[in-house]
Amino acid sequence: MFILDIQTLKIMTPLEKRPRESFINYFNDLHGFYNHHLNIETFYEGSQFSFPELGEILLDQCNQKGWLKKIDILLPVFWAFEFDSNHAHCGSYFQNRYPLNCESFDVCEQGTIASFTGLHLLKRYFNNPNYNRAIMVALEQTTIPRDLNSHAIIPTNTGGCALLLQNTADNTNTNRKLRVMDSIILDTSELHLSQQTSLDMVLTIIYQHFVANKHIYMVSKKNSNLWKQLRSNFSAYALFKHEHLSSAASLLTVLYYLETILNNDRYPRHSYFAIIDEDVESLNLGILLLELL
Amino acid sequence: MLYLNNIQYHLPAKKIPVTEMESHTQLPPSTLKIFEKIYGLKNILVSDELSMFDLICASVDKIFLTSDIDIAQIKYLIHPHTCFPLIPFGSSLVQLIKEKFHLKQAISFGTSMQKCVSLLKMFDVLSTILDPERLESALIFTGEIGFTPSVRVIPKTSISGDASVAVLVSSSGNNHHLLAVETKFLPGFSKGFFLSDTELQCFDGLFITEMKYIILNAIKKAGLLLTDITLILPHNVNYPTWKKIAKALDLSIEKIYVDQISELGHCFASDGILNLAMAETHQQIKKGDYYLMAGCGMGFHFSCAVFQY
Repeated sequence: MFILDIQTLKIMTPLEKRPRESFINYFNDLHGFYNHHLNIETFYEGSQFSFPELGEILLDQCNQKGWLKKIDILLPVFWAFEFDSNHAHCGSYFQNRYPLNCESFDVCEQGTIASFTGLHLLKRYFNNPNYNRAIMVALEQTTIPRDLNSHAIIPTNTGGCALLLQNTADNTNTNRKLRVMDSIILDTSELHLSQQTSLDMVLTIIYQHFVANKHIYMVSKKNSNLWKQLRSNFSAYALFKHEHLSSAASLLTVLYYLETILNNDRYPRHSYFAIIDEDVESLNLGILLLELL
Repeated sequence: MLYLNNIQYHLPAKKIPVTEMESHTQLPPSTLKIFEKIYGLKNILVSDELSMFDLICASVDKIFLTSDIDIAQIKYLIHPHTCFPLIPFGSSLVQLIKEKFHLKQAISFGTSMQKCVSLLKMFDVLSTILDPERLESALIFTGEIGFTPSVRVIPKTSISGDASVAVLVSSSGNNHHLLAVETKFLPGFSKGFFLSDTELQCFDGLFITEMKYIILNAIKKAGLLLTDITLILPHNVNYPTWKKIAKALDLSIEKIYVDQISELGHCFASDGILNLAMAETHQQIKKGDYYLMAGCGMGFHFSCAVFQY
């Protein structure tokens, strides 16, 4: 599977909207059901975007680049809630708006590593020759109705990222592309029961996929447990070139990084990447193994 | 290739007569009477005692009590649901289930785009992505509670009941063999609850025809004829809808398993599996029979899955 192109959207200016009564009631009753308090002020903090609003800006750009022709799969992925949408689901809206007569379903409740799951599922889909081109759309905004006492980590980005993926390599196209070797979710919930560390598990996976002595970039967050382990393990540290993702709590940081490596000449072709992100909620790891072509 | 190898469900003990659902629905008695007299809803399942997590656990528990599945074979853990979110920010029901049942090797996620037919959509997805050579399985579960009137009521259509189901699926098996899934997105209605009355009337005008075609197309895709189908397992929105669909298909209403509509209500994404379990218990289907599950999700997504028992 190849990532042919990436389109990103970063919104810096929040909207100023009054949430509808139906939206407030939903969250009020949801929190009441769980015996949680709901801080009303959280409806008015953050960027107040619905996913159709964000996705439309992003997919209009994709449409202009001709991405939406011959798409076999549209996969929306998200971590956070959206703000007071007019639509039953953003995916339904996108299918309607463009219009897209293709396979489509969404991936949610995977925290900030939902895009790793999305890429895994698309790679599985591409084992079937009926599917060749897909768009994965990740969306995020920052208005999260919640109980402030829950101290939940909330998203820091408002924006989105669309990946154009293809199963087969088009050899006539000499543009840089990323070959997705694997996308793996590593559950760390029972790690304390074993003698292994998360670094051990990550290294095992990397050794399974990469030939020794390849030029490998290890990309992690500086505020992650994994980076801390790497820093204190000289032999493992010395195996890689190290780069870092933004430490922001966001589904989009990994995808923004992919855009950087795809479009930046300082990364030579045939560089290998092991990109590791940690879900801010479950602390599970997403591991994305790539080759830049 | 996909087989439903173990199906389990859990129903709350409490049923409330639909005419006594004023506080749950914020609907006046006159409207609730219409749901009873015209739509054929008699009782609605209400989970007062169990949390959403416990309701789901009750079904998933039964899977592990009745299967000798090696949990290492469960590659995916999926929670299709109708409403989003179902839990305050910072938690995930699918992650909580994963941790409780020690399914650490499973890739877990939630999905809700197809709303009430999200479960049927996942059958479609899993029939593509499960690797038969690796003997992979997936555990899919549903389970929602009508915690607010906007979740409990589908205006002019149905009132939702609380229930959960869990299904263990694999690319090999002996019981319920998925032969075909047909899905169709009907453009123009993605606003769902926010459609105007005129738009809803337009949708209503198309609904029966679209359901008819999705059912016939799925049967054709399975290489069967409508006459081969022993039983249609509907989504339990209401009785008149299925009476009209039966008429459109030129089929006796006895061929559609509407028996549970009056007693369960429309249980979000769980209806198809609930009806399968009930139909099996009441010997409405037997080994070798062809049957199908059909429904529609807000937005609007039509789906039909054809099986052989």
